[in-house]
Amino acid sequence: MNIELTIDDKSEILRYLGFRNNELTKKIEDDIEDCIRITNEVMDVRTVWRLFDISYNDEGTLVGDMGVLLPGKSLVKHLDGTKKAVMFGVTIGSAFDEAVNKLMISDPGKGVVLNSCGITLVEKAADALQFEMDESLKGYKTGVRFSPGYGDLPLDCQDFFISSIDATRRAGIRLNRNMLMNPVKSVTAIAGVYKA
Amino acid sequence: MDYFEKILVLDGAFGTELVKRKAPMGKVPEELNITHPEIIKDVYQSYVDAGSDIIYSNTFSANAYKCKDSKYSPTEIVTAGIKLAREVADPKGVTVAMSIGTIGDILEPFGNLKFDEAYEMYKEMMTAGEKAGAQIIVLETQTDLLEVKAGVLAAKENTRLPVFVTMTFEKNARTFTGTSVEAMAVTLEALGVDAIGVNCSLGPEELLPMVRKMREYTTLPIVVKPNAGLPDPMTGEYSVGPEEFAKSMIPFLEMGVTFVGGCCGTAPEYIKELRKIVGNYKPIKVDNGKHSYLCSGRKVVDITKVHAVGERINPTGKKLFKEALLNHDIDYVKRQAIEQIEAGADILDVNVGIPTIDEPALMEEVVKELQSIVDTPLQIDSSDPLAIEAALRHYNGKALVNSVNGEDDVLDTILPIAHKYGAAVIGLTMNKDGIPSEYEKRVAIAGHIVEKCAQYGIEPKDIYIDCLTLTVSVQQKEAYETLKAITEVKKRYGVHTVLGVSNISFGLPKREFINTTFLTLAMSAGLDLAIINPNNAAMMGAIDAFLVLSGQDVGSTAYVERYAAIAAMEKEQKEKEKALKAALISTNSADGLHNIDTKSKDDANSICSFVKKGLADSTAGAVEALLTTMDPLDIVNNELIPALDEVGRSFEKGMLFLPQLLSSASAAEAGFNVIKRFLAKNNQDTISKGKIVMATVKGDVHDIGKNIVKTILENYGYTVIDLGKDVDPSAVVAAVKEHDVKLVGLSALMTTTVASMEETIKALREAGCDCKVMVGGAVLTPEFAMKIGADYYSKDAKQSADIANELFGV
Repeated sequence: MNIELTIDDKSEILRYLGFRNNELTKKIEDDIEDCIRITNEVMDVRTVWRLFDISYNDEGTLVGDMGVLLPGKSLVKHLDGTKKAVMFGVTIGSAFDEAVNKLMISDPGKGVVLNSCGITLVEKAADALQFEMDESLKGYKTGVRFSPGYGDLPLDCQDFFISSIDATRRAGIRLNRNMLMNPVKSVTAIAGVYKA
Repeated sequence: MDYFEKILVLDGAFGTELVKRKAPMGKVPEELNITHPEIIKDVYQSYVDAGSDIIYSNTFSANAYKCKDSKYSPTEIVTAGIKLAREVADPKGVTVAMSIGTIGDILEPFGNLKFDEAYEMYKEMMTAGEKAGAQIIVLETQTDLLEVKAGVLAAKENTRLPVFVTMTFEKNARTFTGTSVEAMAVTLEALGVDAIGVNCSLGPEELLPMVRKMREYTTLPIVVKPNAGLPDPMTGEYSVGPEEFAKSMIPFLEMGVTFVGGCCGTAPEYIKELRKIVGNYKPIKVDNGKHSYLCSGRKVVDITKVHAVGERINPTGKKLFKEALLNHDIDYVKRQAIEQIEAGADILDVNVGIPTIDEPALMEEVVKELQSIVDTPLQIDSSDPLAIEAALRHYNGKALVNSVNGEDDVLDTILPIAHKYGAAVIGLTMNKDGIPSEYEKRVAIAGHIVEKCAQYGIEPKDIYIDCLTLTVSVQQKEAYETLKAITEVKKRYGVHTVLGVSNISFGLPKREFINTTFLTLAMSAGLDLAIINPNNAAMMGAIDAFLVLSGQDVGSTAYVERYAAIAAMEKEQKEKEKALKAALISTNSADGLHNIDTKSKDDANSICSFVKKGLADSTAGAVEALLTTMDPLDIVNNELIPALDEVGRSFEKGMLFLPQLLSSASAAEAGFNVIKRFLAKNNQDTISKGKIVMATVKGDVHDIGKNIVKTILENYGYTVIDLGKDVDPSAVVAAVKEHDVKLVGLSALMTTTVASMEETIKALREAGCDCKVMVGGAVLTPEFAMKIGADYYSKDAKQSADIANELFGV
């Protein structure tokens, strides 16, 4: 995937830092510019996805031939009755996490800016992947993505998200025993597939 | 066994063969060894029939972590898997290798898995495997070199089986966790592994350049087990067929690898084709000469030219460093590491020895933390064998041990440890009679060290002789004896050399002149590693200039790259200073003043304004200037703290944001550091308004929030004892008791880990700790904080400082 941060992403980076139309100091301006450079230098964006048949029952959403249950009402409502969905994973790599950890020690003010660049990039990469999937799905497109932990979909489902798309082997996304992802700047999600 | 006699064929993919046979695949497919032995045997048989010399057992994920919900124990699953394999393999004279994948959890500090836990899980599998009849242990599809090390140690310490390791590399020749091909090769050969290689992720074509590179860095036999090309993203089908696969394996056979097989997408037909062609080739043993490599998990340093070893991580004679270690301030150590690397250090010396401290435990922790943020190889510096072992065991890479000397009791204690963990070693040319004056005697001691190393299996290229620097103002003749010894030991024994140079100039004025000249002479005499303060530009400059003059920096490329930018920056800086001075003179003379007025808060050049703008250097400069006229504590209370307060108020009002708050804190910190150094120099106690223990609770590995709070608290003058992340409640209790702490800050990011927060608070109360607890984190609310028994809820870093100020009555 050909993707990188540019200065056009500045407003998004600032939004994650909580800025609202505030005047920027020279240091922030410089830091953002440099953090965009660092992000592009260390990022290693990887994506993986798979198309599944889905169905529903009283407890929630059922995925694939085996009918693995994603419990809860929120996802059922979100998918709005579609019979097909994509599950996917996106990460910007472990080198980025290391860069943030290092900067949080030497210049924390800049470290949080870099952290925000990472969030911006992984979201941007997820958007780009959805665009790519839409291209492959000819005549269909993917809806708004939904991740473990949203609404009443438990975080514990993360395990199934990772294994169903083989995200550890194919994209290097691993889970620790509390279902947190590593690299930290990773996204897994499900999105319904609808007629374009 | 001689692995260079003939090429040996391995097997192909296992999982897809199970699917073909419609095996019911649960969470742990290895349970089939017990529930459906006939299917497993059939797959084994298909590879034996296809012509495999070695088959892998179906035991890849049969570890305690992945089997936690299984009906069967890892031992049961492994035993069944190996026994079935032997039943099929034995009649045909085929060897059974025990396949072992990754544990599945993430090693700390990024995850919760402890090195020793990984070791235990591997040990459990391996001892069961050996008992059931496994003939080789293969750690495969590995991505984290440190996890591999846990596995290799488990195998070597608990079984007699040969150990193979194959890792999974991506197109950038690194694993997902960043392990490089070179670092893997260097580290594992040093650890005494029997064969290394690659498997999975890519096809033969993509893996070829990586295996070529691996050959440059190892003499070990090589294993190649690629996928059948790349999978189609829509269908999941692999692109390369059996014949084409065998053909694309030819370059590996020509190169002289020993073991070939297939991974994902391959099947018995692939192995059959491979079998047909291997007879035409033979493994080739390579000789990689006299290279000595040192490495971390990600970066290899090839000692073919002079390298700088940073000496700053050492508490000797440094009051602030000692204090940081006593307060468990690992970030202080990390900062020293980053600073030295930015200044050009290629290797970092790590010494944490101070009286009363548990040196092995601290050494282990510092090594773990350092290797999580820097990729520079480490030099483990201690006189305590336990500390050296603790460091080497948990070190990811090939380290250098500092040091042994000519004494047999030291050599006989340290050398076996260095050899076991595959470390290189520094040998000081001294013994119980001290440092000999004449160079011949120093060379003789070096000879004894080399001889002893040979006994323990350490090659001369991995010995770094330190011919020792004496003080020239006391022993003038000896300076040249050191230089002569450097040349002679290299010539006579084929060893490398190392030297700490700064002792040469004790007692003399303008020490830098003596130091840089002595360093230059030493490099000319054949010095390989210079132990210096890399923050000293003249010393680094001497090394960089020497590399140009000796022709090692070809085309002066590195020199120009480093210094062109620095020269330009210095020029710019000078111009800026000039402009600033001119501006100051004009404003000050208008007020009738002639010094920088650091008191007026509105002045653009006051400490307050520097802190607000986040200008660290300017703040430090202004504090330095003010120290000549003002009491240090007054500067803290009347300048730095009010400045931080003002920044904090702007932050609360939404006029300033997190990056600015933190930059201001860093600027204030620069000011505090000036004051701390001033106090240390004048033998006054450093200022601390109180001690606070901070921790991210057990189970939680996200510590960015805690680190932000810590930064702010420190810059309000508090001593923060940072216990890190994933901290056990008992560790919090212990720290509170040990340091007699009145305030504890706990952070938790996830709803799932808030329970550990409650547990920690309970543990503190039960232990009768007389302390208050403040809590914070994304999912907490004030109500919830009270419910779990906290004394304070802190919504952000600023509020945590307010709470501390209230509690400590500041």
